Amino acid sequence: MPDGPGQVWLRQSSADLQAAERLCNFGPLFFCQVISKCQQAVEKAIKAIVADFQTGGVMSISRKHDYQHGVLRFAEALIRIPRSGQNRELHGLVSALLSDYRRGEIRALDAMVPRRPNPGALSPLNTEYPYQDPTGRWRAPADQGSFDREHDVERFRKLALKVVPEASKILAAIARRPS
Amino acid sequence: MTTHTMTTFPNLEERLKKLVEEHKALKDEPLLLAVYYAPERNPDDIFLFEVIENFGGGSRDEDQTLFEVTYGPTPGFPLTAGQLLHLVMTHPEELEAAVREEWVLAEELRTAFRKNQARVLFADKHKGQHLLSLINA
Repeated sequence: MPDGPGQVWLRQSSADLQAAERLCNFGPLFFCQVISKCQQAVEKAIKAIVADFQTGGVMSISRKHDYQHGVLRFAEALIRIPRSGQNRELHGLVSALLSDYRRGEIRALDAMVPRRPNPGALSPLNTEYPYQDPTGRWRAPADQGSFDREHDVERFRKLALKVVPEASKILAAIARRPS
Repeated sequence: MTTHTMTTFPNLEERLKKLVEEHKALKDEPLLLAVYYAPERNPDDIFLFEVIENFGGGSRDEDQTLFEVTYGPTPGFPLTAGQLLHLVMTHPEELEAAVREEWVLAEELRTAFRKNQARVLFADKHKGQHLLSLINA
């Protein structure tokens, strides 16, 4: 039987995470690339869960949003699935994956996705496009000092290393649900 | 033609209030306003509109579309066959832009208020009233 949409999203998420792990070995020039790949891994892991819930008729989000990179809104929709005693195991897994702390970390990672700046504001730090530092000077995400290993790379790597396998467990739990 | 009013689903308001209580418990995304409403579309479905502080990290949808998720029946929220629960979520700054720029889902809510087909289930005592006056301006 072919894989469902959730498994397809998850395979790509795992590949992004493996790419992030390999890029970790190449030094500061690649810090922005590692974070970018971690963001992609987390984004796709969350979308994998949404996709399988969608297939199961539990929830639905317009496909239009599939192409948005920020994933916090998807996470916020997942934690608001009405709960009950009968879906406790699955809800417990989703709640653990998307705890207050995790959502805070996902919010921080989402902020690294390039976005159009607000009118009159500086172009914010992100992992892809030139941005402005607090003095207004333009910099590249790959420039030394844009990101550091301890506070940025390790923080987001740790997040992705948790989210991807936990998403896999949730997909397995969804598959076990009685139809 | 189906006529729908807020009394169409009298037994669901209590469940919706319970759901809103669950959402109020999410402390890092404080709920500011929750409205149960009945727009023109999908007359058999249930619609809940929530304004949440910092929803989506405070980002604004570039396509001018408020974020809407639909939930099918779950043990926690049983629905009749084919019925869906729609949840539209936004944050105050995005709502302000949506009202000013007449985004579709914001207009739908404003119309429901005008037709007396919207009921406030929760309004934060500080910010909720301001948001309601913004919607009803």
